[in-house]
Amino acid sequence: MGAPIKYTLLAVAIVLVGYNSIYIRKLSDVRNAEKALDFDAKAYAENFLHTTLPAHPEKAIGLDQLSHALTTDPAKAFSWSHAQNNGNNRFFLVKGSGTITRIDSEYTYLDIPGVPQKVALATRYIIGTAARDGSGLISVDEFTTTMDMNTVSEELNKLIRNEVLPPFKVAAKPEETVRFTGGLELQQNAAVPDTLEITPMILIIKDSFNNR
Amino acid sequence: MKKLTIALLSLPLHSFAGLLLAGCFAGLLFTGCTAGAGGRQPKKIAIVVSTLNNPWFVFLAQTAAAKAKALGYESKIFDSQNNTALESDHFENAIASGYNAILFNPTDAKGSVINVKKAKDAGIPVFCMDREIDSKDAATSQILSDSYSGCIDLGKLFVKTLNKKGNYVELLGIVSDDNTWNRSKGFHSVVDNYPQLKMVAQQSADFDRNKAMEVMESILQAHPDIDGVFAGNDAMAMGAWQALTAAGLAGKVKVIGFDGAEDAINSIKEGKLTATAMQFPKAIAELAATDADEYFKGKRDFPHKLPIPVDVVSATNIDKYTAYGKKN
Repeated sequence: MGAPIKYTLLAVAIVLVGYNSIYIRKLSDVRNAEKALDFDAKAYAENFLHTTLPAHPEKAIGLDQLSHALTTDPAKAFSWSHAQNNGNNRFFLVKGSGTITRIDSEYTYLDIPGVPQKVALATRYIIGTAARDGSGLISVDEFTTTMDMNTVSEELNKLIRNEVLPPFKVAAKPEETVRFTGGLELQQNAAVPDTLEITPMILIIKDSFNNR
Repeated sequence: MKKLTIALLSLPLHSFAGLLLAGCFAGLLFTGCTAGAGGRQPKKIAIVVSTLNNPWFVFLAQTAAAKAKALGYESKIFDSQNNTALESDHFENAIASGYNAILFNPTDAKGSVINVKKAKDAGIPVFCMDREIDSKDAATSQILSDSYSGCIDLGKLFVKTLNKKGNYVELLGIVSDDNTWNRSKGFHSVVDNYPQLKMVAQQSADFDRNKAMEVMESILQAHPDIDGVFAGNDAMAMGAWQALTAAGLAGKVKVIGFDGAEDAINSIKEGKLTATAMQFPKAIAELAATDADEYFKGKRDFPHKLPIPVDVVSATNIDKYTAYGKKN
């Protein structure tokens, strides 16, 4: 074989091997592909708040019923609670309706028949995992990492701040009646607090719930 | 002979492990491999921990070993020195040496998954302790401190202690560890709601006391006017406290840690550290060893992830706690 043919074949081989060894892709495409595999906590939280939760009204315990049980039969009361761990802090999904007695920068206070405690709907600081854990519908075993589950909690709280609260804060006035579903955190080994602080998840003011 | 020696030395570790396994299998045919055959020898449990440079992990490992012994098993502690490659070697060795279960404290949430999968493929159950791997089904079970919830409570205390305003520093742990971010996210899920609380610096000190002291010294050069420090573990909190003491700021700056380690508990008693979050390494380690025991006896339905609660410990309730747990 002549030298020119040999070198030509060698060059072709190098080009072929080189061409098949190097792949050039846009960095943004690679990153988007990685993102697509990531867990979408926002979508999960939206689905939970707008679809899963309304589909399971039976998961919420009446606040009057819970309040009564907390003083008469705490074991029964806490049997309605949930948590991701078996610690002292327990979470409830509660529901009820009451009259607005006062509104300040952090809470809307309600008077609820059958509930001797002060009831405060949080309207400024939405923190903690009551919204995620109260219903018991979200389990740690669903998630690849606990980070994913914890991000769901943050996204849920964000949705409450950005979607649930703004229309309520505009419409809410003293003497009006509010129907609510929300998360409540209580400590199992502590006395029943004077104020039950609820993280609101569904809020309907009387005018708008008459027809529902 | 020389050629054979060189050839053996040049074998990759996994090939060597394979040879050992093959040898074990061959031995089994004629004499019976030690562990697990005929019940004459106790089963063996490997305890692989991220580092023994931190007393908290020493306690975790020793408690797991003590519980394994109490249950009738042999055990050995392997120190990964926060090095995923070394951890990988430990897994190879544990698999090749015929360990029957691994109680595991990972070095890297993502990087450690492959090691756990190797053990799973070899039929060895792995029970993660305290730290998580990013997989739902590679480990038989993962027993994890609920760092996120604990740091929500610490965040609330921090806000109250600083009266909702001031400058603060956050010292992060190892950035590839999920606990680092669960703690940071839990803390920020509360503190970020208060705009007058300003984080002036956020740096990793790898859960290490000496590194935390150096990082804090450096931060104080640029930000001497701080009111609080949130550290992702007690070792870093103690390192930060040392740097603050050297700068004459001890007491003025409120420092919060996480773990419930001995020196942090003593420091809270002495009015130095403001708070920590008590993890319960005894409960975690003993549960992991008990799970291994139940696995040997046939149980298979373990929860993939089991969060263990943590308690906030401060001057108000320090009398109820001792290092690594509650007083009896």
